[in-house]
Amino acid sequence: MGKKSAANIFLIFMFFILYAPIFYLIFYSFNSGGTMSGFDGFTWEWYEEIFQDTRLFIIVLNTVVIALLSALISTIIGVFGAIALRSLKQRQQQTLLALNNVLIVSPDVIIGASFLILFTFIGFQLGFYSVLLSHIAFSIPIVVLMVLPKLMEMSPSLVDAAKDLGANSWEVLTKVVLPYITPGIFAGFFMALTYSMDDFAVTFFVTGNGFTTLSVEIYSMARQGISLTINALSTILFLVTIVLVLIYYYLSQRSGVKGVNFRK
Amino acid sequence: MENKTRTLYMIPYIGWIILFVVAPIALVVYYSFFDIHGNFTVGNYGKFFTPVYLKMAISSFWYAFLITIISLAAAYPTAYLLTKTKHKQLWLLLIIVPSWVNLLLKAYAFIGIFGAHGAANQFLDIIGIGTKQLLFTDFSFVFVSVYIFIPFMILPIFNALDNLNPSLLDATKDLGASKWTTFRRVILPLTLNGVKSGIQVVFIPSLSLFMLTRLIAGNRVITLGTAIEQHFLVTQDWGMGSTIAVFLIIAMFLIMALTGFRRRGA
Amino acid sequence: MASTIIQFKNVTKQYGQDPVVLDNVSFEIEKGKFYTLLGPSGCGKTTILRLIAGFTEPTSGEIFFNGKKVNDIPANKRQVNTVFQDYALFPHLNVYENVAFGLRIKKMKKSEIDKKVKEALSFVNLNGYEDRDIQDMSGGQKQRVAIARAIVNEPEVILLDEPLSALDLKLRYQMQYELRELQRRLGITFIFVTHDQEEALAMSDEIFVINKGKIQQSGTPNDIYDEPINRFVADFIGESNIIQGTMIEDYVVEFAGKRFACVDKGMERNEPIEVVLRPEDLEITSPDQGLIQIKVISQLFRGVHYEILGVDEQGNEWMVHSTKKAQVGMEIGLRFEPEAIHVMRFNESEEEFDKRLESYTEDESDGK
Repeated sequence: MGKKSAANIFLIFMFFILYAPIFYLIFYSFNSGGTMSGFDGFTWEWYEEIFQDTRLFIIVLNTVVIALLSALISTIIGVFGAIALRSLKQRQQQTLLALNNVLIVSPDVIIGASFLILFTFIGFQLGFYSVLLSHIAFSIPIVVLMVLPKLMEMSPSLVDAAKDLGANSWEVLTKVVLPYITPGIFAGFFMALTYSMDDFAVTFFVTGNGFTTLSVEIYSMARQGISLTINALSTILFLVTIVLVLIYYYLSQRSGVKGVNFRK
Repeated sequence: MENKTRTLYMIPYIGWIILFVVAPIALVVYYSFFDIHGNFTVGNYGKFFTPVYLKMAISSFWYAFLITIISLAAAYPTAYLLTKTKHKQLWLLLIIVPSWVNLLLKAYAFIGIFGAHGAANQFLDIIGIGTKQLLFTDFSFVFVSVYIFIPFMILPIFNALDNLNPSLLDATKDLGASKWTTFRRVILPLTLNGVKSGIQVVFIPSLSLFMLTRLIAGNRVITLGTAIEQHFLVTQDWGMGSTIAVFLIIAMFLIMALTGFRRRGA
Repeated sequence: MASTIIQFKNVTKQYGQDPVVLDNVSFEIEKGKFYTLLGPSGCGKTTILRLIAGFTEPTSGEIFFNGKKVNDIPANKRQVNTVFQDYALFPHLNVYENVAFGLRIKKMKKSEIDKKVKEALSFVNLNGYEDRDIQDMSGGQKQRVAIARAIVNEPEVILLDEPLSALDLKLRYQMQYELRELQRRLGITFIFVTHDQEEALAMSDEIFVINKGKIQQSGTPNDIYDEPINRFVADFIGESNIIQGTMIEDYVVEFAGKRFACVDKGMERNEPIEVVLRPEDLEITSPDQGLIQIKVISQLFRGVHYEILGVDEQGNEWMVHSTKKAQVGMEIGLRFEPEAIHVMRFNESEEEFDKRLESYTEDESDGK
């Protein structure tokens, strides 16, 4: 029994460490004192400030638009890429997969710096489109990695059976292959969405002046020191995150994607 | 699949690989041979081997090593104990939720907690140690980095432990092994791949954490990532920045070769 | 007389509030015999094995090993080794290291380990496979490695948890012979768990038929096949025709609307009972010569014999195994000897059942 309670204490301690800073932020978002120490009194002031800040609203909108668009486009390219990869010979597949994974293991700084060079080199204007392209670029390999296992586990005789029953290539794709890998596609889309929402470093490099996402905005606010508007913002974001997590959990439970995956 | 359809599916994907995987790396290498005035040079590589840059590289590796080891030491027992709980998938999800919170917000939280009058100092004051300078020290950098990376270390180890066939543990017991022997001879070797994936997802990013060094460590800690950001966005010396990036890429491939590529969390 | 090595006394096992897995089970296992625990999945047979191995503790009751109570002794301290259903071979170790695992834990000398591992591997015909990876072994070979890993520790009892279920039919037959042979050569007690009645009949000295957490019947394969205690055992082991009937008086039983002579006695007058007739004990004749007349409704050729299904006038279904062919739709007669009729009482305990059967043999010797 002693061993068991020691184990429980350790786990509780780990959960405390992981959640304390987040709740610390949330707690002080209601502090009228304006600092993250010494709670003076309760206020909605910082939340009101956020909702009156049209610039911040536009930034949030930018972030969401970039996330949705990049997730959608990278999912389309990634799914077709994975289907094509599946039909390749082992060795070609390995080579392409290795290239696929380069962006997944690369540190953000490298991705950001190298994309900055790329856009400058070809004379591409930095701004909304450079950020969108970058987000699509680093999301594609994630989609491929989420979809490919599902494709691999699909028995080749399924496709043969569909053809045997008279389906043409298009019908094989839309009536057999895509429905089969739907859980993988959803998981990939969702991962791409969260990767994009949370990205800071890559966006920071390729954003130029005039266009900002939420992460970049938080960074520049935080560099200027403590402002409880950030706390209020993090409370809102945390709640949104929880909702997204619940949706993802529900989807993954329903589709039986094993384990929980996450972004870097 | 007919070849024609395959080619059609392949075009955007291959296009992406060429434009966003191969070209950027090639361009980084290309730029590393130019100085700040746009003249061709190999001087950047010479500069990298001067004490200033070498010291920075070594300290960057040292911090990454510390962060990885501490994360591992905290994550392995956590993952192990998690697999023993009821509703373990739910608990795992709760461990991972903090990783979904924007990294910058978490870093920002520590600006408050480690601040001169923050919670950490209040705690130190109460237990009688007295207030200390916590923010802008290498301690706070390592602590916050470990905090951020722990969930990423736990996940692959948890999955490895969870995939362990329970009858193997019965077999070990059956053959007379004690708990410690079971761990050392069977559990650890069979979860080594999870540990390696964990090391991979922690070590490589912690070489490049420039935002943490800026927000938490002041300029006390300069990682390779900080240096790259500095050269690209502040001093505009893209050549030197690219040179450091080339070394970071080499380091990345070395670590990949040592630990083997595995899908994150798989 | 063989000595008892394992004894269960009123052992019950229950997980939390779930229904009991084992319900007040008592039995004894003797040294050097081949035992089979036979039953459908979920009947509790694997739980018995896990209790013997020490992977789980009984909720109540006592387990003795060589006369010593072992309820609380953990698995790693017991003189028992297990061959697991999925083999549970360590994927990170090669064949040699898998077999040597238990010996290394005992801190045995290197030269001795080497000798014993080689010996164990040759026992299962795997010489020369020492350096192979587990992944490169076939199902049958993995099976042998698992057996070698168990026997190398020289346990007093080896537990085998459905070890043949993953093998194909031919290999399964071959391994049945090998296991039986191995047990004879080693002289170790084998406790074998299976749901395959043919496997149990072929290999065992003793079979425990288990259902719903209780031992239904124990005995030699012959006893259990010829004299099943109840409907479950009769149905589970071999094919049988089970017909409702009445015991009119000693040696006279009524079923299918007729009275027959039989060898059973000791029941109440007009006691309702069930009668078992094995399909191979029924002989096809012309309708007028038969004791019972059935109409053939289907026939399958099974290789060794024809399997004929028919219905009598009262609507009872009959299965007949015969080398003779019949015609579907034809009326045929069935003949059988009084000894072929086996009468089962409802809710008879194993003790009462054994007593009743013993009284028949006494009668026989009295009659002489």
